[in-house]
Amino acid sequence: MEEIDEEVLQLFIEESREHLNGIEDDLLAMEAMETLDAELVNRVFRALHTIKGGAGFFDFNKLRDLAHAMENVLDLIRNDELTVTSAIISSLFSGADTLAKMVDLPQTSEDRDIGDLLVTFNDIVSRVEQDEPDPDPTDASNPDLILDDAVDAAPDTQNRNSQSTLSPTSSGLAVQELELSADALKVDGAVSDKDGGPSCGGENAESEAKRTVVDQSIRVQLSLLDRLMALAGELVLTRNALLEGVGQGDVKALIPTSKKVDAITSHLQKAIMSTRMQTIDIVFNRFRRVVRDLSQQLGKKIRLEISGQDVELDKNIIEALGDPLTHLIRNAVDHGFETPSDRTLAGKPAEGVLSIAARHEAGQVVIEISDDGAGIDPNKIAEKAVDKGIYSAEEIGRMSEKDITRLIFDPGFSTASEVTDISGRGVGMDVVRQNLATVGGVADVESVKGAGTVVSIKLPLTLAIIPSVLVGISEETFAIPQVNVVEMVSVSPEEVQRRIQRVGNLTVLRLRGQLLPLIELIDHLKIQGKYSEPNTGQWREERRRLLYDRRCFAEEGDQEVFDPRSGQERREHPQSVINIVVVSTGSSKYGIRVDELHESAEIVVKPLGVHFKNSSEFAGATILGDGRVALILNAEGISGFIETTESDRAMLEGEQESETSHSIDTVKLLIIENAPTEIYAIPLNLVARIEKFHFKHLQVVGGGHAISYRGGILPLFSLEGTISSVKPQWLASECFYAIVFAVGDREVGLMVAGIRDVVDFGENIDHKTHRRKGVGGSLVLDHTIVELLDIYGVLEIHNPEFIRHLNGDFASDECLRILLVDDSPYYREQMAAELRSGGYDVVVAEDGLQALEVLNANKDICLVITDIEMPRMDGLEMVRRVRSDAAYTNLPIIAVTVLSAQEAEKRGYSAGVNDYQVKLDRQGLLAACRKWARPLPAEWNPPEITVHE
Amino acid sequence: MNDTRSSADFGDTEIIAFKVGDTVAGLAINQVREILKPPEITSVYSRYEYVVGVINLRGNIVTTIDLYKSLGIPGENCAGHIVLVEFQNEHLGLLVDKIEDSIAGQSENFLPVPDDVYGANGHFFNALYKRENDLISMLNLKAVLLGE
Repeated sequence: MEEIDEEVLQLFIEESREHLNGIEDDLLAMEAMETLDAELVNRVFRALHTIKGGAGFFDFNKLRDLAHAMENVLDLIRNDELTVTSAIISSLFSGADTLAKMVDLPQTSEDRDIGDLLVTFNDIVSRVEQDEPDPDPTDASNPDLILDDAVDAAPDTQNRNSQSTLSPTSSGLAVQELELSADALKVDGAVSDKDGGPSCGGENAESEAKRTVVDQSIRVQLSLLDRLMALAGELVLTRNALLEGVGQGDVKALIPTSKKVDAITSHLQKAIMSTRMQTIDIVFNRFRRVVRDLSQQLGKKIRLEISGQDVELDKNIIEALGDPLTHLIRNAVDHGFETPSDRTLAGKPAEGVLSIAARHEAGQVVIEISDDGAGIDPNKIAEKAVDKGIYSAEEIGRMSEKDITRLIFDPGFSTASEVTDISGRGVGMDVVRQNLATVGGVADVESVKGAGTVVSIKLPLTLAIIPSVLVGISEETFAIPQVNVVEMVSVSPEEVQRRIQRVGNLTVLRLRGQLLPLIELIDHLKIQGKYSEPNTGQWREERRRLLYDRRCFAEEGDQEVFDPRSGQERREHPQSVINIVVVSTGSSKYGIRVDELHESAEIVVKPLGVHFKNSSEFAGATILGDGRVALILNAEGISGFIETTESDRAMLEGEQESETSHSIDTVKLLIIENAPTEIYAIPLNLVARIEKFHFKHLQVVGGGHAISYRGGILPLFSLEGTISSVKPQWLASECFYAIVFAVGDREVGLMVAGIRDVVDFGENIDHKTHRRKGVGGSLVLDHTIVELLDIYGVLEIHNPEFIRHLNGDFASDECLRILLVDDSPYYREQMAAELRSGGYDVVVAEDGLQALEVLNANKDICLVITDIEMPRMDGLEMVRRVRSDAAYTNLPIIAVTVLSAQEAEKRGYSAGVNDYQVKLDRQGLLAACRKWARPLPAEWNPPEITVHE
Repeated sequence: MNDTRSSADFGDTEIIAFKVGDTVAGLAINQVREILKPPEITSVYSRYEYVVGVINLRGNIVTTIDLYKSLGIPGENCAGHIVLVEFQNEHLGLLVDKIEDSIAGQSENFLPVPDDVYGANGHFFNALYKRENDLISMLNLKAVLLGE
């Protein structure tokens, strides 16, 4: 072949690709058309004609021949000499596919074997030419017959013949293609498994080549280019002003100019980014074809519904989406949907609905692929997982159905060789997840057996700029993409021993009853004190001790946990806390220990070179404000550092359980100071606000202090004279703090000298030693004894009338019996006292099992108040047991927690809890009692609840 | 630009010569994009031991390679300069002790490479260039950069 002008060739390739993309849609429309739409057929004809012309110009003979053969068929259709059948459309599709492949790699197109296709098309044409067009006018005019998609629907023998010869070829082709891409995905999965990281996309060499072709150019709206031009012009003007300003040395004059630069830069950035944005319909549209071909081949009836195709995403992401989405769609059609007869049996419409929807959600794009098929049977998944030895039956037993369904994303699971066994999804879900992860996407699945499956994918809008959290580890700065960051936790030195522990070979963080693996990147990324001295350019290598030793820090439990070698910042702050960033990848959640938490920032992603192609640890690099380079951590890749062995996992699970069953609720305490020697704690959840007032506004009203506040009067009381004899030492002579509590529908303020701290306290509160009216107990904090205030008690001492007034309507109630269940003696005593003061008769139990016994023994209990986290049997389980007995369905149950956690509430309500209250919120609790506690009917005689040990 | 070539492929070309330990290594001038004093190098974990890290070169991230480690030469790199090369559409930095010279090379002075060049494996080099008193080892970028 003679030398071809590259540029012209490129133009030809791009133009042909566009035509071919259009052909696909038009062919689908042709299949659906009821009467001949000449314009539609003409469009396809013209497209093929153009390709033929171009191919002829470049001497791509086979390309030209194929386009010509297809053109002939279309010519017949256009002249109404040939009736469109599914079979013909299918062959045209495979012709168009082959054309597309040839166009992508025109240089090799001559080597491609297109003999079969040419024969197919020529057969169609010659048959029509020999036998003359179908003489039967009804056939051509009857839409039903034209629309036929079954082989025997056409009465015409010629047509039937042509179909029976064509169908095997075309469907054979489709099958081949399907297998090919499934293989490609599998191979890709294997490779990336080996490398321990996701690879860029699941396709064979051919489609990779296609991608490079696609990458060459992009269509941009002219108006957008105009806008870019305008911005560039503005930038030039501003630069001139800046240069002039710098020349004059007038800093003040520079300020507006620099602001302008700032504004133009961000406008430019936005405009340039938008040139990269493409609508997602580019990807979505090809699924019409996929669904059509596959459902026809499998004999299923599926309607495809697409919505949100206008959603825009970065070009890179759009391109990377094609393969995983195609896989999901194929999976849904192949395994998700039942056959029409099965559907009818199941009482569903024969036609299934597959919907693909894209939408914006909180700065991300969410794509949902949902079907109304058979759904995923968690039991089968569980069975499979146990069979494959991925999880033990015991571990599975502890998982929720949702988590079991999610196992299909598990690497070990989805490389299963049996594709279709599991109702629902088989091979390659792991690869789908990995492919999505390369573009920052996270996949999740939800399924209801018999009703359908929804796979949802969350994607960032763009890859070029990502919001991230910057952290410092040793001397390095790393960026963690915000999408992965769940929360940041700092563990104070005194908490290290309790919260960071070693389980087997893993270091774990205790976080609200969960154990999360902790990753020390210094160990894994070989972060060394290797740096070049700025002045001399000399290389220095600090010989630092590896951090493996630090893993014992939980045992040592002292400041030695901080690696002595890691430099100054630690030595400067020997008391420093351990900072942990908790990240989630969708499939796993873990903590990364960091030295410093810097700001969060929008970072510009720069690619890393060839040497990092196969490393999964980094997603790229970015340049910080000061010019230094920071690496972007790939949360998915980093999670590979967690090497859990079977025994570790078992231990982790075991620990997790023991943790939840023995956990003591932590409570946030506000530490206040009356005098330097007198420190008190107040449960923070009782505090409405903290205010600072000037003494000169203090007024004496009716023997007590008060202050006018928020348009009303805030009565004030102080600890002096109620529970303390020490005169408060006001820190600032003119000001005092008032801690505002809500009591009933009113507010009161406690005057305190100073606010010390807010702490999480999880240890036992001594409820005996210092207990007296106004003091609920005591605790030890930093070696100091701190008394825990019982605010209502203090108030009662201060002004008994006040409390009596609040509880007034109680006294008349008849004495109702309440069962109070809590494992913490402090809370139990405290709440029991509150309830008794509210006029109730209280019986107590320490855990769920005991509660059931007490409930059996006391038939007159009319309300249960229970803690959730308890040893032996927790509150939820207890509630379920009680509720499982029909006689107790109406027994009101109130759950109490230290803080209101919505998730916990949800679980509680589903277990059968009637109400949620915060512990120590006396008024709330009493109000709830008033609402729920009702005298039992006289004939009431509840049966025994069986207690299983 | 060919990355692997034999001694016969070199025509008259200017050669940039630099020191890596006792070895004087060289690259044809058209293989060298730039020579710079090392800025701060951010070390990056990599499975390639000879990758020292990345630098910020005017807003681009450039992987930097320690020629000592990549050639297997014992000793510590003085890191006097970075020789920026282009390889497979990517810019990469070679960390060397110092830049020694720029020589107008004559095609007849290029010699074939023996198996061993001053303790480094011969496959790292495309040719030797005979100078007045010594030899310049012409780097085979593919071997040096990819360890192949």
